Amino acid sequence: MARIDDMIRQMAPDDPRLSEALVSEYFNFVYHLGCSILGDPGEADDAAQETFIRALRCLTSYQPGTNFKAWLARITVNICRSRQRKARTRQMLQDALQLRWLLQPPREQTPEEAIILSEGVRGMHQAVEALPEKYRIPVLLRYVHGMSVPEIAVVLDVPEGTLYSRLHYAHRQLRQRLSPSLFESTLTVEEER
Amino acid sequence: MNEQTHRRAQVLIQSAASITPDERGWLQTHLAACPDCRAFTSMHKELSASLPLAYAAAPLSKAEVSDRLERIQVRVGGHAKLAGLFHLSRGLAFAALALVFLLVMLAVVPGLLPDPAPLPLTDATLTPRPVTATPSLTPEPDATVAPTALPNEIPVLPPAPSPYQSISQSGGSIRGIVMQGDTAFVGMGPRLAAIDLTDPASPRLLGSSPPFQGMVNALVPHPVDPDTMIAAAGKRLIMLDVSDPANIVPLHALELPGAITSVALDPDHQILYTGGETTSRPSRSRYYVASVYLEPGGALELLDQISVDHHVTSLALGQGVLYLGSDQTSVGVYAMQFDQPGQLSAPKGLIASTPQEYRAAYHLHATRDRLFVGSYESLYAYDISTR
Repeated sequence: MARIDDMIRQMAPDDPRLSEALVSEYFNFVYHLGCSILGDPGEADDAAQETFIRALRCLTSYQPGTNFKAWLARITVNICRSRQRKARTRQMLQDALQLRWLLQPPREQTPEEAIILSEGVRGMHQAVEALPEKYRIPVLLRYVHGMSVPEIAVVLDVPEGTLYSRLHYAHRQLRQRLSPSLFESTLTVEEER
Repeated sequence: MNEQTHRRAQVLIQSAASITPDERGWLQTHLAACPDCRAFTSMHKELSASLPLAYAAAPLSKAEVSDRLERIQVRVGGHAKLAGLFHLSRGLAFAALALVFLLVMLAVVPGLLPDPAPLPLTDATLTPRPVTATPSLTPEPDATVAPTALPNEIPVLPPAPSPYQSISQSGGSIRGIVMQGDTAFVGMGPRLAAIDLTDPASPRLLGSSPPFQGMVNALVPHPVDPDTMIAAAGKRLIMLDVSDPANIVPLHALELPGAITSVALDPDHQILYTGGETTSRPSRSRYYVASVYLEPGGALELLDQISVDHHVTSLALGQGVLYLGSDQTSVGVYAMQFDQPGQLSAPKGLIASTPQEYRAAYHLHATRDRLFVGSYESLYAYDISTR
């Protein structure tokens, strides 16, 4: 991280050595983050490229010494959300026109998905996918990408307390979905606004 | 127990790695008495264990990341040029407006222009001046200025802080190097370049080919013709005459179905095997393997071509078997047998790969009895002597 910060301090934003270092170091992290949010490797690939293009164009707004990975993740999450909104709009349009069967043939199961089935974690995957976005993305950042709560607070630009609430409610919903008998919460924490 | 107590416990659970012994003791006491926070803990552990598997995604290979880097740099560079043009045109427009405003003000407002200076009164008697020779328009040669030549010295970087000291550096994306004596032929961006390494501390660029349509992704010497090399650039194989390194001449080109991602040479039969993909988006890509006959100094002839259902990250030929590297999470290496050289058949899975034991084969190298697989973080060796 310090090496990247030093490079950002010392090199011009359009220096190809800087873009090479950033892409080599972080492309797969951004791509994986995009995959987990978008659920489509092709979309994630495009989103990752868009992330780096946007990051390199506004690199001057990054303050070296803070957290470059979190800064990059923030751009990625915003781009993925934007793509999801567009995709939802497209989907609604297709549904409205009743052309979904024509425009979007059923997708074949990828080997990765087959492995998920065989590993028996499909239930967990489905439960997380069913969470509302404001709970799902903190869960993905925390448990798939191993980010700490303070880092996620930077990525999502929300207070840490709000994040703890969101993770708490995500846990409750997941427990309800995965094993209702385990759900015996008596907590009275109010859902944040 | 109130809400704040539960919240404190859950904050400590989320940051378990960095809590103090006192906090750990308090947490254990609290968990012993609180079923809700115990359930939270078990769900936290379950999510930590399961979600990385549930959302496993095969990382892109180094070649794919390099490909994305090139696209990103092109788009960022293009934007910078457009932005530069925009700023330039905006500046010119502003300057033109300012000039017009100034002229209008000068014309309209009296007194802004200074009065013309009065002509000096002189004696009417003109003194004749001596006539001198008109200076020649051709400048005299300046002995102190050396003739300007195109630079071919490659700048030498200061040594990097590493166990290996850099002797010199040149160019950009290098994807293939073939040495012939003291001359290095390198795929440098979209060109094949020849570099004289007689003095390794001061390499000299001897010459380079014209740019190809695509970055040079691999470079192989012709197995029987030392004056010829084959470069894989974009979706084309290009045969080049390198007999004069200062004047590298493309001889023939063969266009394959899509961008070439890997090559393997069969020198005994003068066949080059190539793997590639027809589109760049992973979800829509189609992959292929092709075999090409390399005529000495002649044409490139496509012998055979088949579609495969996985990205061909690398190729290697050993013991009459073509090994195909893959970055799937189910199979890392496939093997293809031949009825006769160059005649391709459906590949069969050889080495498994799973998210837990990821064996994506980004690099393959085969010797008589070993297949070396360069994977995500490890190098594996397999015994192929009995195949």
